[in-house]
Amino acid sequence: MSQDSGEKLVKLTIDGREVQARSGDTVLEVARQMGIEIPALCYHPVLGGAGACRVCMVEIVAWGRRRMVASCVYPAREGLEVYTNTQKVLTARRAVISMLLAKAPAAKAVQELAERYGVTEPAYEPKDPQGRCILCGQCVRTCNELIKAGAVYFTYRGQERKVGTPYDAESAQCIGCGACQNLCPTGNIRIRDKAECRAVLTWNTDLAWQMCSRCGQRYLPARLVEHLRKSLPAGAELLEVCPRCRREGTAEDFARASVTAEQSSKL
Amino acid sequence: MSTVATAKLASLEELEALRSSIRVEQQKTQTTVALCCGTGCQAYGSGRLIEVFAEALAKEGLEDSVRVRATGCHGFCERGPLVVIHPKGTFYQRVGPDDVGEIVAKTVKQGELIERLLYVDPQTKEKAQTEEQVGFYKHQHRLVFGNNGAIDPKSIRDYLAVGGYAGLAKALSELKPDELIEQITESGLRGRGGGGFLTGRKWRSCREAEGEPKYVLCNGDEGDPGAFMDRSIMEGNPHSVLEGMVIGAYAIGSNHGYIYVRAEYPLAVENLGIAIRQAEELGLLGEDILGTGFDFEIRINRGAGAFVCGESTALMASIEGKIGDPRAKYIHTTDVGLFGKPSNLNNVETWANVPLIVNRGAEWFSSMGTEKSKGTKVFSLVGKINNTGLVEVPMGVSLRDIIYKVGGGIPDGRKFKAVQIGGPSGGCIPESLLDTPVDFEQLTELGAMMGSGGLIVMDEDTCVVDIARYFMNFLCEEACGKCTPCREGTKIMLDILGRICQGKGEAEDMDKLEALGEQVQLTSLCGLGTSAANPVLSTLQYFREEYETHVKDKRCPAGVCRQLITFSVTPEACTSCAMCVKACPVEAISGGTRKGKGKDRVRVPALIDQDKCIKCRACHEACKFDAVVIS
Repeated sequence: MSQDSGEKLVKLTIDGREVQARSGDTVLEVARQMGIEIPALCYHPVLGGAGACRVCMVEIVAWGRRRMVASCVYPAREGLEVYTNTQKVLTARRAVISMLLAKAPAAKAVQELAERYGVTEPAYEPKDPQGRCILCGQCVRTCNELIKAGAVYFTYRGQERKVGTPYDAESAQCIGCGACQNLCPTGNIRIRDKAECRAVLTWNTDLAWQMCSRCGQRYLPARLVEHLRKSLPAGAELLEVCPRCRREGTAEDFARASVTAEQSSKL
Repeated sequence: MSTVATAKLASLEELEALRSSIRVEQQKTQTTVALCCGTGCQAYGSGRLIEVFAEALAKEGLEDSVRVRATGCHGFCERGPLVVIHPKGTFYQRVGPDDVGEIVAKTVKQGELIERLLYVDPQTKEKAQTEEQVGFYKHQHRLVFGNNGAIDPKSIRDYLAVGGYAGLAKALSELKPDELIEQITESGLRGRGGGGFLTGRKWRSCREAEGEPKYVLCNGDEGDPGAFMDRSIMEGNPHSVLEGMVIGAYAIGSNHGYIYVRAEYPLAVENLGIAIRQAEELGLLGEDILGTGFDFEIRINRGAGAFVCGESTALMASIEGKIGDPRAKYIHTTDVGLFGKPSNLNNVETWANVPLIVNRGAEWFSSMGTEKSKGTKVFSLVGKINNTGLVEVPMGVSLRDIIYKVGGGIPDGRKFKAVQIGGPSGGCIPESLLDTPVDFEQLTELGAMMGSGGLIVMDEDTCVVDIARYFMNFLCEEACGKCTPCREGTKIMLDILGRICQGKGEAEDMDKLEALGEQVQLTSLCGLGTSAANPVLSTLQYFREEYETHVKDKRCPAGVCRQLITFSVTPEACTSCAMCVKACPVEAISGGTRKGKGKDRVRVPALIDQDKCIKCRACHEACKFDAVVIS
C-alpha cells in the first residue's frame, strides 16, 4: 500500500543485490520484481498485504537493528538490507506453515507451501480435515474495500475467528459478484449457479437472476446489476441486456449505420 | 457545596484570580474529612459512609464548618474504607458506619484519637497516626497520585485549589510548542503504558508529521489482570489527565483529542465526562482556551472489553468504528494513525505526568530514577502480599523494596516464590533477582517487562506451570485472531501447558514450548503476540525444575494442579471437629466425629474417599489443625 504521496526512489539491498525501488512499494513487491520468490497468502497485487498470514517473514537490518518483519507490509526504505532466505527466516516460515496446515489441511495453496518448505506435520491435530480457510482476510477486504458491498467480515475472535455474514444469516448486502471467490487463495468460497438463482453457499445467500430484456435469458444476479447501475451511472442502459445481446445489438447498430451511410452517399 | 463560577476564563490572570478566590473560600473550612471513594473502598462500603458522615455532622451542627470530601483512590485498598481527617491528617482505616458517630464526636470535634481505628504496623506493632507514618506510604513517592487524597474528582475547584491547570497556563504563556517538546524530551519521560518510548520524541514526530488534522489520544484501556492504576487516576484525578492532554495538544499542534476508556470502568467514564464539561465551562478546554486562541476538544470513546484494544493500532481501529484488529506499525502512528492522520497516543499515567513536569521543570523530573528511566512509576501490587494496593515509587527502586517495604511482605509467614511483572505479557521473576531495580531496560533483560505496572506476588503455594497456563489462557482468549502465530501458537502452547498440569506432559514438552514461544515472539503481528510467550519463557527460564517435576515425576510441588495431587487426613492431627465434613461439597469425607457414649466415646478421624474427591481444597482450607494435607 502506498503511503507516500510524493514517491521518491530509494536504494536497498535484497539478499545482497542492490535495487532501486519506489518508496511506497513493499519489500515483497520489490523482491518479486527482482525474481526473488517470497511466499505470501494474504497479499494480492490489487489489495496489497494485510500482514496477517505471516508466511512472508523476512529478516531486515534497519537503523543498525536486525529483526524479522512481514515483507508484505514493510515499506522499501533507503539503505535497508533484506534477507529472504536465512535459517531464521526458513525456521519461522516453516513454523507458520505448519500452523496453517493444521488450520486448513485441505487448502491446496497451503499444501503446496508445506511441500516446498519440507513441512510434513501440521502443528497440531487438525480440527477440521476439510478446513480451507486460513483467515487471510482477502475476501473481507475485497468485499469491503474493493467492491464496497460490505457483506462479509470477520466474526468472533482468536481461535473462534472466522469470516462470514452477520450471524451467518442470509446477506442483504451480498451482490453475488464472486470477487471474493476469485481472490481467495485457498479456494474456500463456493458459488453455484442454479436455474433459479446464484447460490453463494459460503455466505448462505441466494441471489435471484436478472433476465436480459432482449433475449429473456438470465445473465447476472439482479442485485449485482443494481450495484453496477449505482456505481457506473454512465453506462446504465447497457445493463438492461446480457453481454451477448449487447454485442449483437452493437453489431446491428453498426450494420444499420453503414447501410444508412451508403444510402446517403448514393443520393 | 460552594457557589460555582461558570463564566469562561478569558485570560491567565482570570485563572489565577479564580484560584485565589477558591483558596480563600476553602480556608474558611477548618476541618475536612477526606473519605476514599475509589473502587476498592467503595466495594468495602465507603459510598454509604458519605451519607452517614453527613448525618452525623448535621446532628452536631457541624455541617457548614466541616467538609466531607469524597476523594479518589488513596492506594491502600487492603485497609479500606480509608478516612483522613485534615488539617492534622489523622488516618483511620477499615472504618465502618458504626464508627462515624464516634469519629465526629471525638476526632472532628475534640481532636482526640480513636486508637482502634489506627493502623498498626504488623511487624513493629507501632500505631500510625497519619498516612506518612504508615509503612505502606512512607516508602512511596507519590506525585501522579499526590493529589488523589486531596481533591474531590468531581470538583474542578478542588483541582484548581491544589494548583491545577497551572501547568497549562505556564505552557500556553511561557513556552513555544518546540520548547515544550524539548522540555518533555529532556525530562526523560517515557511511555507508561508499557512500551517505554520517549514521550518527547513521539510528540516531536507527530508535530513534524505531514497531514491535518492531528489527533491526541489517551489510552485508558487498562486490561491487564490485576492492574488498576490508570483506573484510579481517571477516577480520582481526571483533570490531571485532561491538563496533560491539552498541553500535549498545544505542543503537537492538534485540536482534537480522544480518551479511550474501557466500558468496565463506569466511574472513570463518569468522572472524565464531568471533568471535560467543567473544563469546557471554564474555558480550559474547547474553543479559545484561556483567551489564547488555541482550540482543543476531547471526546470519550468507550471500549467494549477487548484486551487487544489497548494496542495502539487496534485502539485506533476501534475509535474509527471498526473491529479492534491491530495492523503493522512499520509506518508509525505518529505519521499514519487515527483516520489515517498523524496521531499521538499516550497512556493515562504518561499524560498525568505532563503537568507535573511543566510545573516543576525537566531537571526536577530527571533527578528521579535511573539513567534511562526517569520519574516515578505507579504499580498495582496484588496477589499474596500484605498491603494490596496502588504504590508509586521512584524508578530504580528494587522489587524487593516494593514487595517488602511498601508491600509489607508475604502474608501468613509464607515464603516468596515469584513476582509477575508487566501483566500477562510480562514475566515471572524469582527471589534471586529481587534486587533488580525497576527500570525499563533491566526488566526487559530479565525476560519480563515494565508493562503498565501490574505486580502479582506469588508465594510458595503457587504453581508456576499453573500460572503460565492461566496467563496463556487469558491471551489465547483475548487474541484477536488476525495473525497466524498468535492465534494458533498461543492455543498450542496452552494445550501443552494444560497437558503438563494434568500429568500428561512429555519429556520434550519443555523444548517444544521454548521453540514455539520463540517463533510466536518473532513472527506475531502486534505486541500482544510478540510478548505472549513471555510468561511461559520466563517461568521455563527460572523454574524449569518445577516443569520437570510435573513432567517426569507427575507431581505438583506447590500442590495446585488437581490431577497431580491427593488430599488426605493425618489421623494424629485430626480433632474430629467435622469442619472438613461440612465443607466438602461432594460428601467425600466420612468420620470426623465422635462415636459412643460416656467412657466409650471415641474420636473417629476424618477419611477422604479418593474416588469421590474433586480436589476443590475446601477441606484443606476449612481445617484449623493442618490435618488435611496435600501430597
